[in-house]
Amino acid sequence: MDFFAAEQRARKRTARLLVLFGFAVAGTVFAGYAATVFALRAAGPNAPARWGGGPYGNMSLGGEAAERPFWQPRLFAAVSLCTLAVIGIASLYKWSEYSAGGSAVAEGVGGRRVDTHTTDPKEHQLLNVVEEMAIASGLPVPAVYILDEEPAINSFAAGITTSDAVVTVTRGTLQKLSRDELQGVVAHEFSHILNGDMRMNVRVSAIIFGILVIGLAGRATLWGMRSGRFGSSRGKGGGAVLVVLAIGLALLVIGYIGYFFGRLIQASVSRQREFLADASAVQFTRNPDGITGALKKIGGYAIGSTLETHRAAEISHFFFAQAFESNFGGLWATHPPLTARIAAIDPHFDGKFIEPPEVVDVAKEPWSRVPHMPAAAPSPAPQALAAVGAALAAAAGTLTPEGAAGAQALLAEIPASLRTAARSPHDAPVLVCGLLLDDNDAVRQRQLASIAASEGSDALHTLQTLEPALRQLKAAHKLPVLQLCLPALKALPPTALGTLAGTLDDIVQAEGAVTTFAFALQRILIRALAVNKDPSSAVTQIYSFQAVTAEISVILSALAHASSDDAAAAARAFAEGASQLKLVEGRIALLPEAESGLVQLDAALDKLATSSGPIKQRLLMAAAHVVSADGVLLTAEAELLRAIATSLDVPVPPMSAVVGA
Amino acid sequence: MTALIILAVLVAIAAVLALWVTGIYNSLVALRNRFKNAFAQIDVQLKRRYDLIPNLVETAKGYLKHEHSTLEDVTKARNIALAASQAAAANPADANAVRSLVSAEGGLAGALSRLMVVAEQYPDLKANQTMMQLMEELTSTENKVAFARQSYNDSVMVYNTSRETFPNVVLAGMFGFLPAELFHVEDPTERNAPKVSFS
Repeated sequence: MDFFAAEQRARKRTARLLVLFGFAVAGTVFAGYAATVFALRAAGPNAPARWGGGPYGNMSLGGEAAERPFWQPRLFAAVSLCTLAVIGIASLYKWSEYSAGGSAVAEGVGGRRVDTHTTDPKEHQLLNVVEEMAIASGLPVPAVYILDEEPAINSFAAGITTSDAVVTVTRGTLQKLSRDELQGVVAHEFSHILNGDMRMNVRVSAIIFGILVIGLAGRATLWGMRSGRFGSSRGKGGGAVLVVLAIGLALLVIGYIGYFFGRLIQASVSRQREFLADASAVQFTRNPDGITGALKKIGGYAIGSTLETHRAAEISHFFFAQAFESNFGGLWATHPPLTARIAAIDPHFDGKFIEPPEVVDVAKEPWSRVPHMPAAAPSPAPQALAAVGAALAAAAGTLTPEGAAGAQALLAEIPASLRTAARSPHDAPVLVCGLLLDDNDAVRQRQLASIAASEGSDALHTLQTLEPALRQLKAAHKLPVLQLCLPALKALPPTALGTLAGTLDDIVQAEGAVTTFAFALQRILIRALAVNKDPSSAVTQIYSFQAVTAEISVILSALAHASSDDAAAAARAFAEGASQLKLVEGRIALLPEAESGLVQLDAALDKLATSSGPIKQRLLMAAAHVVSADGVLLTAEAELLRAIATSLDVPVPPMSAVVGA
Repeated sequence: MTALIILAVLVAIAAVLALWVTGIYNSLVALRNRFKNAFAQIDVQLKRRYDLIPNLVETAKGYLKHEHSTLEDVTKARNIALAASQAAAANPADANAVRSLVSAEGGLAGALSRLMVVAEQYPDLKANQTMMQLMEELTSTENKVAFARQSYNDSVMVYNTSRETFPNVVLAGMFGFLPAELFHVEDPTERNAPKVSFS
């Protein structure tokens, strides 16, 4: 971009808008005059020649009028003086609010001054960047403040002169932006300081406030008339009352119209100054990628630049990006749209924002920040066994330090070669096939043949290198390995996913019967990769337990049969789970094994996936109680439970992590 | 009477002219001082860098036992640049001194970027807390030097443009406003020296 030309263009547009603003103020004054003249003419000769002293000074001079021509220089001077005086006094009041300097503004919105001897590396970097930009722009180094409580990306510069200026950034800016992007943001703020934008903005705001005061005065007049304060003047004639009424109404209308258009022009000026500051940021850093990167991150992160505190609403004009929702469909927006700003710097902008990384670094994320689901678990039963179920349900969807430690231990038990393969989009599909391989050699040969047929001999070769590690892998660790593969699988093109699905089908069929692991694997893959996702299916939601009693029976029965071959033990386990669902306890019963097979389970899970959150949560808790009823967590049970949890979109930690804890 | 009027008009014209010339002269002085100040800024930042480099070399020494020559190059280039900067600071208007400083600076930047490339291969060094702080300081100082140059060049550009446009060009010659030298990098390979970044 040619930033010098862009700066010149923005300056020219600002100048035009300021002339327009001058016209708006002049128009307000003239409208006030016209209203006065019309009111006096309408009052006619009946009006008293000289007013003893109405509520408004201008009217005391209005009585010069035997014939009342349109142009009355003395009246005009009086009206303009009064209007300007009102605007001036109100402006001075507003101005005094900001004259305390930038630090007062920054502290007013909750900013904390960064100590120059800070030990925090991020804060130190911020100080360095500010010093760099001070050199690049030739300004004195301003004080630096941080808004600690704001996770959004935003910043502002405040200060009427360059010597009392401050630069404030949010904590989110420090955390989410790279050094270059931070530099772009700070350079943008320096442009505001250099160009005196805050000074101009405060002046314009002050004048607009003055215009608003005219409207408020009109409203006060009308209010006063209603309460009959002018009753005494009725004796002299209704004309005076009418005149005051008309003038009050006129002031109200003029004031509010002036205010509306004033704000409109101010917003346009503000937007031009943003373009100017963006161009200057490029001039200072000579690095367009910095500021565009910051703008793209604001667009990509859900939280964007919206601030949590509303203490900053007063100074929303000073921010780096839109800090609050704007009124009047963007007419009053203080900042141009992000895409327009990026396109102004980079004409080849493709409209894509920078999305936040999906992986949350568990080791670094502070625990307190992870939102906890409301505890759904009942008070834990005295037996340690029942506690497993409760703990599992309570742990669903939450992240605890113990859980993370357990996950790390689990991860350490998985052979390194498998972990590496799981992360590679090339090896992950092969690894998933490998997980399904049967221990029986004859079956295994058939499976390997079908893998070679559909995935190629390359895949077979990869599989052979993974085989020793796969043979070592404990059954309980197979599902965690599958979970590790998911990100890599998601990166595959749809055609490759289709082939993989076909291969997996072949492998499972070669085995003869569908194992619980194969079932869980299929459910997890379908869910995670959305292979046959139908967007319309999520529209209907089931809120009633009654509607899904049959499905609940199927699920709890399947789990009960998986937990034990003994019919009596299965019945006990089922009863344990059913007792968790008081609402439907009487209506669900243990189904025979033939009616609660994997086929029925499949259908039941599809239907339950559309049920509401509370149903899913209670059901999962009941399921956890079924599997933990006998105090033994078989691999088959764990696999089924995970398949159920995944299908219901309720993430649960790995079972071994919970049981082992 | 007519003579008096003519005289008054002449005096008025002379007064306007004098004011005009004063205005041009003053603006040229202001612009000249601005670029001189910008040059002083480069100087300040270069000094900061010269002070920082011995610390950096000292910290890296323990880890880079096999890279003695690289470290020595950095120290040598730093000493040459320090001497050149002292010569240039003594007389900023001397275009020759500025040019020799520019080439010495190019040598130092090259030696530093080679050190960065070497340091990239030592994970222990990258993870070292002191080293990380030094790297941030060095990044910042490198940036400050670059921005100070940029600011100097921008103000030289404004000064030269003002000096060379009519009618200023007539007066600039009369009052001895000499053209200023831009701070530019001479060796084209230095222009794309790798960026210092450890993050």
